[in-house]
Amino acid sequence: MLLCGARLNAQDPMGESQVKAMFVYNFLKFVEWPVENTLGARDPFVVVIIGEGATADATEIFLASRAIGERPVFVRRIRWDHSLDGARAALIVERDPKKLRRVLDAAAAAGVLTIGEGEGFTTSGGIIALLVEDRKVRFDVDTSAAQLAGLRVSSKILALSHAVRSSTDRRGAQE
Amino acid sequence: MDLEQLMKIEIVVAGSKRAQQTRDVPSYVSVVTAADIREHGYRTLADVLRTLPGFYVSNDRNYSYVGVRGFSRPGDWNSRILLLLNGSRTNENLYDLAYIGEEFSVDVDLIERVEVIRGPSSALYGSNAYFAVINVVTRAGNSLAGTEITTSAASFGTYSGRASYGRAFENGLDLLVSGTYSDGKGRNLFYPEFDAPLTNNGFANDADHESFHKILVTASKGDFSFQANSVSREKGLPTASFGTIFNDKRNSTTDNLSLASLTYYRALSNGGSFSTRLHAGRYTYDGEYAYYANDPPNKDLAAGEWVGLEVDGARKIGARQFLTVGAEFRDNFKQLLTNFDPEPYVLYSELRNTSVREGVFAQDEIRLADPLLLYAGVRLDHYEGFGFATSPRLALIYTPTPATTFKLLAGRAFRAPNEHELFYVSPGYTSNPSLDPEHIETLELIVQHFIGGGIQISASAFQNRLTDLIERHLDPVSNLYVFENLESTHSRGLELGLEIDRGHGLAGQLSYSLQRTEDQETGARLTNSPAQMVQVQLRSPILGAVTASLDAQYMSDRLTIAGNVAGAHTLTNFSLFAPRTLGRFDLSATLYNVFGIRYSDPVPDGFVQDVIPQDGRSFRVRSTFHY
Repeated sequence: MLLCGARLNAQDPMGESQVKAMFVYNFLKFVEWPVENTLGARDPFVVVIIGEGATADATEIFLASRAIGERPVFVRRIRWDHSLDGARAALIVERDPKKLRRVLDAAAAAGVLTIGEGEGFTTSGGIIALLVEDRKVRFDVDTSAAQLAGLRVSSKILALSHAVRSSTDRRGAQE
Repeated sequence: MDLEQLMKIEIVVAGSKRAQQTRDVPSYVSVVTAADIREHGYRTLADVLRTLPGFYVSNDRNYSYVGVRGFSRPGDWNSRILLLLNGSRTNENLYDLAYIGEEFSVDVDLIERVEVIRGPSSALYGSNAYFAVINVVTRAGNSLAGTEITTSAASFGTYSGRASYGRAFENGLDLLVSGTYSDGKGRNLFYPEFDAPLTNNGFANDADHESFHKILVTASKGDFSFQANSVSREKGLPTASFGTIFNDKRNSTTDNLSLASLTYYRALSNGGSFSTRLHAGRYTYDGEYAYYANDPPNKDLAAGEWVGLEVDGARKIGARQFLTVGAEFRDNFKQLLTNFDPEPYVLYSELRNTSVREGVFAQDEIRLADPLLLYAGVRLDHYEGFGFATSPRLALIYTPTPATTFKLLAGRAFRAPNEHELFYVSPGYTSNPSLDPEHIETLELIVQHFIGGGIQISASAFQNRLTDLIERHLDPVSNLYVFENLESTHSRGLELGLEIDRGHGLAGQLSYSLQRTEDQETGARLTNSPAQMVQVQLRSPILGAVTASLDAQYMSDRLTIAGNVAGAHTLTNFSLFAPRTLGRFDLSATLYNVFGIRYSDPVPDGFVQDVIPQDGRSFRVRSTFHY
C-alpha cells in the first residue's frame, strides 16, 4: 500500500512504483493471447501478483479499478507455488532464482505474460523486465520467451522497448 | 497515460520519497479500497469506518459519531479525528466537526481509497489529529475514462442518483466532474418515552426524511492539482432532541460545506520534494427547532469561512536521514454562532468572531541501521485564545525480516477548544471562554507479520491517557449546560488482526479488540465504550465475475449517560456485485442487518431517550452505467 508517511498529499509524487504499475497496465493492452477467442468478451481479466514490495502494492492498487477493453481486471496476490490457472498475466517479484525459474516455467506452460523487475528477469526466462535508467522507467522484452508462452507482443511495445532479446541461443548455451 | 507518455516521466527514486509502504509509516495503518466499498455495498464513510479494528460508529438519527479505541464522548461531532480529502482538511472552523454520514463531502463511489492512520498525529497536523487521521483519496478522472451514471433504490423510500464524467486528456490534464442527489422519506418511528396521547402515542411520522446533494470537481496537470467540492444535506429530526415538540416535522437541520484547494507539488532531485497548498472553506448550519406550536421554530445558525496556506518541504540529508519541515497558516475570517426566535423576535445570542492559527513542524526520519528506522517529530501551534501547544512524537520501526515489522510509538497530541465549546449560548446553554486545550498521551506497540499463503497477522497493544477533557455537563449552580475541562481518562487495549488473500478469489479480514476506558480518578467505565469488538469481512467470487461479500461487526454492551446499558449486538451485511453486466452495467444488491437484529446506540445529553433504536433489516439495489 502506498501512503504518505510525512504528509498526505493531494497528488502523490510519480513514484517509481506508480509509474511501473502504469507500464504493467499498458503492457496488458498490447499483448495477444492465443486463447483470446475462448474467453468471453466480458470475462474478467485476471492478473496475479507474486511477491511483496512497493511495485507489487502499487500495481495491485492501480489495476484494481481498471479494465482491458470491456473486461474488468481482477488482481490476485498469490504465493510463488500457487497455480496460475486462469491468469493472463503475472507480476513477479521473486529473488530466489530456483523459485523464479519454477514460476516462469509454470507461466510459460500456462500461457501467462510474465513481468518482473531488473535485467536478470529476462535472462532468467521472463518476458518483460522493468528497468530504471537515468531516473526513467525502461523495459526489455524477450520475444522468444513470449513465443514459448504462445503470446504475441505488439510491435508498439517492441518499438518502445529498451532492448528486444531473443534468448533461445543463450538458453541453449547454458543448458 | 500511454506508453509514450510514461517513457517521459521522471521518477522519484524509491525509498527516499514520501509516498511510503504502510510498513514504514509510524502508525497502525488501515487502507480500504474502491473495490471494498463497491463490493461490500458501503453507503457512507461511517459504513467503511465501522469495519476497521478499534473503530465503531453510533448514530442519533441525525449525525453519525465515530468512536476510536473505546472512546466516544457525548457532544463531540467527531472533532477528535482529522478528516482529510486528498490531503486537505475538512474539519470546519466552528465545531471542528468531521462528517462521516451522508453529510460527508463526497459520494463514496468516487473514493479510490481511504487511508486510516491510528494514534495522535498532531506532530504533523496540529489540532484534531487526536485519535486518528483519515485521508480520503478520490478517483482520478482517468479511472472513469468517460461517463458513469449510477441510480439506486433503498429501504425507507430512498432514491439516489449520480452522474460523473472523467478522463485524462492528451495534454496531460486529468479532469473529474461529478454530482450526486439523494432523497429519502425515512421511517415512521416509535419512541416509548413519548407514549402518551398528547405526543401521538410515541409515533414520530414522516419526520425522518433526509436529502442531500454533492458536487466534486478535480483537475490536475503536471505539478498542479485543484479540487472543489460542495455538500448540502437536510435531515428531519424525529427524536424531539433538545426539548423540541415531539412529532413536529419542522424539526430539522441543514448542513452545507464547501471546500476548495489548489496544490503545487514538486518532486526534487535526491528524493526531496516541495509542496504548497492554498485552501478555502465555507460552512453553514441551519437548525430549526420547534418549541412553539403556533410560532415559527427557534433558529440555531452557524456560519464559518476560512482561508489557509500550507507549505512543506522534504529532503534527504546524508545517506541516512530524511528531513521534513513545514508551516501552516489559517485565517478564520468568519465565525458566526447565533440563536434566535424569528417571530416574535428574541435574540438569545449572536457571536461574531475571527481568529488566526499558525503552526510549524519538523520531522526527521533516521535510518539507524538497515532494519531500524527512527522518526522524531515535533509541531508547535499558536492559538490566539490560549497561546502555544507543543506536540512531539517518537517512533521506532524495526524490520528484522521482510515479512516482520515491529513499531514502537509514543506521542502527545492536543485538541483546541472550538468556537462552539467556547462561546455557544442558547436557552439552557451557557458559554465558557476560559476553556483550555485537552491532551492525549499515547504509547503503542505494533507487530505485523506475513506468514505466507497470503496471510498477514497483526497485533497492537496501546495505552492512551487523556487529560483536561472538554465535556458538556449540567452546572449544578446555574442549571445550565456548559463545557468545562473535566475528567482525565485512561484507556488500555489490545487489537488482533488477521488478513487473508488466498489468491484464488477469497479475501477477508478478521479482527478482535479488547479495551477498557475509565475515568482516571473514579475508575468508572466511560459511557458508549464497548469492552470488546469482533469484526469480519469476507469476499469471494461465486459465479464468473460475480462476487459475494459478507461483513459483520460484534460490539459488547455500552453504558449510557443515565447509567443504563445498551446491549451487545452483531450487525451483519451481505452483498452481491456483478461487474460489467451486458458490458456496461455494474449491478449490486445489499442486505443490511441481515438478521434484523434490534439494537440501540447511547446518545448525548439533550435527548429524552437514553438510547436511540437503530435500523432493522434494510436493502439497497443499484446500477452503474459506464459509457
